[in-house]
Amino acid sequence: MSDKDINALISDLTQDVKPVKCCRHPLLRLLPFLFVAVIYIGGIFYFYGVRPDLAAKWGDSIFVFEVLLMAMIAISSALSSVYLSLPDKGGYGWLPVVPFTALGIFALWSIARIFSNGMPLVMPGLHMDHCMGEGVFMAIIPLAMLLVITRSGATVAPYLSAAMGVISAGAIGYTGLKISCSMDTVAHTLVSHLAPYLLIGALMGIFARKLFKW
Amino acid sequence: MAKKLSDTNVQPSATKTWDALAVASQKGDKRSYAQLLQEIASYTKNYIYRSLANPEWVEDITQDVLLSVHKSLNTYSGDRPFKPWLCAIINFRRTDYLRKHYSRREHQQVSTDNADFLTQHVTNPAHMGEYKDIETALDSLSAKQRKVFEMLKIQGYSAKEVANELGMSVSAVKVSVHRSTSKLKDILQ
Repeated sequence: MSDKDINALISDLTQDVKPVKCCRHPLLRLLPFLFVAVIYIGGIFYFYGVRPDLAAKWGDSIFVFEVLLMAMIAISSALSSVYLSLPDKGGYGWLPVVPFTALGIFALWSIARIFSNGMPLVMPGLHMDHCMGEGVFMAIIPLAMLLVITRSGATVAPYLSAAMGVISAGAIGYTGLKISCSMDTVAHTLVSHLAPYLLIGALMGIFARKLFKW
Repeated sequence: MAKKLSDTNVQPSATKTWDALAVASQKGDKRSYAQLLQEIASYTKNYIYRSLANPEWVEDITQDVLLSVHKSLNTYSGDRPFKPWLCAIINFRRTDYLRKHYSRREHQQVSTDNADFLTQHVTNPAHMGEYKDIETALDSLSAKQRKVFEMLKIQGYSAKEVANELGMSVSAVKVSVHRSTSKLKDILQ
């Protein structure tokens, strides 16, 4: 490879250059995602129904805290994902710290709940049958949409982008399950509501470089 | 990062800054784009030269950077500085190149104690000869890459004709051929 090759490449690329449509502002790119995610989850609630004690639960500060924390994780990680789709991260390279910190708070919160409520070694009545399936169903379209939005850019952080996508979709699914499933035990929540997203996250990690190939 | 930037000798042209050149390039201005790519090429070489164990890799990585800049030009926004955008691409391409290089080398390590391998792959006359080597190297390409490479480099079609035939853009054809050539070169060296 020599300067001659580079000059030839520059010449080729110059001949190819055409007016390009620049990526819109990350916030604008995120709007369709938020819109579709809300409509989609709303549709799922309409068809599958919500938990019978939902009205009473809105008065429960612990329930509200968890839902708001998850909503914050979902939005901040989705926003991080869109910013990460730009090579220079739009100057917001620090943004993934927000969802990671919120996720840390959630982890500590879950550990505190395990200590206060106890987590039996044998977990009866997990009724994973519908929660796991519904959880994945709730997350899959938002995740796919976020992937499409991120792939329209050019990320230099494929693994972090994949992580942000899964965290966002997982938080949306978790919030959805919190509203549709009336079982609030720690064991059920961690195993049936969160485990599927860990699996999806692992798969995304394996295929991150292929997913976000330039 | 700031130290690395100041270490490099190449600075944006005095007449137009890179930011302005990039914005003009996004509008399809070929002269600005050529100037931008020339300056990026020089800058990239200086930027990565001291961080590589083998100076021969500089040219390859520079080509990768130029192709990446070409493909992702739409992700640059004129209201942000150009250099951090470019440096992110350079660092990504350098890391990617080194990762591939070292993983390939590791993959190609063969113990001389492995008699079966030596019998099958080293002492087998059927595996010797330039033609067979090239065929084997071509087999390492994906079906689409091989088709593009053969049409452009062996059958003599133009990039535009290949693009029309295979339903690709001309730049995608050129990028594909560049990657195939680099891959074949690595295998045949």
